[in-house]
Amino acid sequence: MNTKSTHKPVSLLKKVLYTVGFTATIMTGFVASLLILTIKPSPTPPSTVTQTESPTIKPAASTTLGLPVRISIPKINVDASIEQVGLDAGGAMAIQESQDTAAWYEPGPRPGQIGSAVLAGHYGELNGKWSVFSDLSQLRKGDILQVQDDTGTSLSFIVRESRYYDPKADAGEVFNSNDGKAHLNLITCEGSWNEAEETYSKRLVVFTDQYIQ
Amino acid sequence: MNKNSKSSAFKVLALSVIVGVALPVVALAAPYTQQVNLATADNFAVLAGSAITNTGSTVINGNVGLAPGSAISGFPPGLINGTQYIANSTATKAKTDLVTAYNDAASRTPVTQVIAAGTLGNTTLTPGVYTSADSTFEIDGPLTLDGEGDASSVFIFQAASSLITAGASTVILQNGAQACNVFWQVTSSATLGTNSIFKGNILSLTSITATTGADIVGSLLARNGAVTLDANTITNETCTGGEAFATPVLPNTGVGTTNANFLAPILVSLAVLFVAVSSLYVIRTNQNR
Repeated sequence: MNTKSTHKPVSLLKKVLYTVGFTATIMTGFVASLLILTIKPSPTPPSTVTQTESPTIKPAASTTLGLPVRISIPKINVDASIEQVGLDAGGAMAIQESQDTAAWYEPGPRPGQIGSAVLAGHYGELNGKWSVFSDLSQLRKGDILQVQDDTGTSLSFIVRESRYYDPKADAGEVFNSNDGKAHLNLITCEGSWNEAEETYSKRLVVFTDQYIQ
Repeated sequence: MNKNSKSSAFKVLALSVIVGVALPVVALAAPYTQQVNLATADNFAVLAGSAITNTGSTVINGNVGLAPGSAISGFPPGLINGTQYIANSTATKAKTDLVTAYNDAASRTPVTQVIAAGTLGNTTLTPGVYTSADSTFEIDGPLTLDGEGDASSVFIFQAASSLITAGASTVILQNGAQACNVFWQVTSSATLGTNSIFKGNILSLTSITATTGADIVGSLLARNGAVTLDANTITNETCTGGEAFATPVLPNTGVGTTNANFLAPILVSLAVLFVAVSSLYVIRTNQNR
């Protein structure tokens, strides 16, 4: 019996093929794990208020339009209360610290009044929690959102377009309009995080128009 | 005094007399240009205290403000080419600025001319401050305001009572006169006649009513009362003497270091990959010896 204790010498081609094969397998695993790490979980709604039936959409009479208290954006699972803000000392729209609530720019019109009402919300993940407007970039033309006021009236708005701005860009078209219609513009951040300045590199604005069925 | 100083003294005296007479003449010849500063009230075509009520196809080219009341109705069918500021901090601030401007306009002196019986129809006026002999102003025919070639010329009308314009009456601006530089201070109420044409900023203590079809270039600013509209066109005009709204900078809504979190997993994965590939290569190489 021929008991060869040595293996046949492996050709160079086979060496290369084996190496490439194993590397490809490991690369696939690496890419897969990277994708899993980078996909954000949907932000959980900050409140557990459940409604047994969807609110009736009543176009608000101008005389009784209340203060905005709640915003809901079903497509991105947003259901948040609204706080009022003004200008900060640097001339920018102020924003509260809470990651869970939206900010309404009080010096401007209310959602549903003629002109451009503005709501802002935080973006990003902090201490394991995702902020209220983290998924705003997923909104597309035609998506519907609702704002409820303190008289219980609910107004609907429909997304028209989204635009990105530099942080210091002129925001005239975000805060002002004069086409005789009621608009609601949503602001958050996008882009890459600048640790030194503690800000994201872009601002995202979603422009919406009042939607009366 | 010697002869030289006497003649010098005489020359100085003569010069002083000439200048002393000439200066007031020069001053009087220049048109009146002392603006009334509306500050943030300048941003409004319509500003009211208690309510804004519209009927019909009114078009407002400018912003609409209301404070402390919050009752605004008629839009639609009315159209506002601007923004509504209803019972908020912006409207409240504008009302405060209106009070300041009103008090300034009401206290301007000296009065250029007292208008007999307050009738301003078929009249041409030059820049200055005007009051009425009977506390009211009536425009019952064409009123021409002549700016005397100066675009910064100012007209201030002080009505101790009311302002009433007749149906189809008109206000005509010429020679540099601008609606933004015309101020009507009205202590009681202002009423604009049907299909009339009106120019200027009405600063009313009580209310302002624009009846059917009256068109205004300027603004209707009512302190305590309502502004009532009926198929009017109102176009706000601003020149100097106002304070534009500041446009806010976009808010900084970033909280986290989301992207930075990727770095650690990436480095660890790369390290593992490197070790794995290297190990494989070494194993393979050893097997082939």
